[in-house]
Amino acid sequence: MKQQDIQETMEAYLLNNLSEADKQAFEAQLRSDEALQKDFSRLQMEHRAMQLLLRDDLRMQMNAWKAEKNAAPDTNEPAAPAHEARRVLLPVRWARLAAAASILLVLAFVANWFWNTQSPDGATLAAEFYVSPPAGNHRGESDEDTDSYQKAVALIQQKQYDLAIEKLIAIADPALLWPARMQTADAYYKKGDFAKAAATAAEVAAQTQDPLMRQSAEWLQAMALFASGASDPEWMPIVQRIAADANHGYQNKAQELLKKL
Amino acid sequence: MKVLTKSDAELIADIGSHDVVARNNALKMLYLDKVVNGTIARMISDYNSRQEADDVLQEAIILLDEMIRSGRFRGDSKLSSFLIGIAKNIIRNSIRNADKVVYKEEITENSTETDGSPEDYLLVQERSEHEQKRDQLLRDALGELTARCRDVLTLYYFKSYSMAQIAEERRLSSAAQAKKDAHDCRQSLRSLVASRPALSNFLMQWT
Repeated sequence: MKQQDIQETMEAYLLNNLSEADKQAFEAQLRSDEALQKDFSRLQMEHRAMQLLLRDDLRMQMNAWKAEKNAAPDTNEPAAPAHEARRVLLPVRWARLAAAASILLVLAFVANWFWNTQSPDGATLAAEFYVSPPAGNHRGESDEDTDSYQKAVALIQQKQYDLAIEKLIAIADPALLWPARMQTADAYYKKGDFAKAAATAAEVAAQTQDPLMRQSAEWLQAMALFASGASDPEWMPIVQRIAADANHGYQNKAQELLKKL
Repeated sequence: MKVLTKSDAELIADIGSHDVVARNNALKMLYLDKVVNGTIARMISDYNSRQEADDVLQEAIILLDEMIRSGRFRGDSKLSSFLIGIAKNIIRNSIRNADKVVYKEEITENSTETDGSPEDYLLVQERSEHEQKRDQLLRDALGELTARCRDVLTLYYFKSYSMAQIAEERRLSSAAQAKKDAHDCRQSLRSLVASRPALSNFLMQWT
């Protein structure tokens, strides 16, 4: 079966669009073909991701309907008789004023408490928004460098940042240069050397041809600058630009961060 | 609150169609139905459940929507009764991570009477912890897609890959443009999934 036919069959199977006979034939083929199982498994993962998107979309719709329902006036309730409203007007007015004053007092207290206890410092907030750049399955022309890259990624996961950086810096294979620099930036960040993390990420963002990697590098640079306590004009324009870019993978995070600030 | 005014057949046809507006209107009708809402609120009270009525209803509607669109819904009971049956399953069994509705006979391979209440012959399956973890990782990956790609993929999946319909929906110049958009966004999704070692572990466990 041609590759495209297999792909179409797998898609149709996942969408429940195959006849019973075709479904059974596909399942029989799947049982005996390991490579097909891997491809199918990857496709199942993509389908699951899209199913989650559709579910989230429907939830948003339902929340919007709920808000619409709650905002609409209830025309079924009878209006209160006029004489009752007049009779209780004066005492109610003073009670309302007192209640409003109490609420304001409580709100002021809560706001003061919240501001004093919740204002996060740059490093804490950056940590909340930091996203480790994906390591990917990058392979170079040199087996040795490819092996070094993979080992360095594992060392970062084991928090052995200095050893990881040592390996990554030594990589010369052009195909691995920018992925290695990206991971180096990540290692510097996690080690707490925010200045070097920002500088390395900036270099990757300026030089890489990979748009996804550039976006990761821009975000890492912004978070590293923020965590280092750099002044607003150094990191804020980066975050604002990302927040305004609908095609940027970190747009949501940037908008969330700006809201939090 | 509204009472259902369309027939069940019309609602099922609308939900199962690829027409976004028709499907949303049909689901909205169910979501706002007075009897459905009242019954769920009463069941929450009867079972002393801590779940929120609206959360239960939303989960039940999501599951019903998927069942109808996948062609698994048999239509052997009133739609609102079926929806209430799903909700009752969720409440009675305190289900927090509902994932799918199946007919009991699909699991037991025994024929089940469908004359009784829907909650007697259907079962709400929950996601395992493993599956919850997988979904969390997928959501993290989806968070890195552009908003535009998220919209494209939502529509693409909803319309079961009908490019002509997607082109019309997004007012694109052609189905070819829609196909390119969908292809590019699926490629982005594929790269995001492939670049996450943790998700690769889930792939290996599936094979």
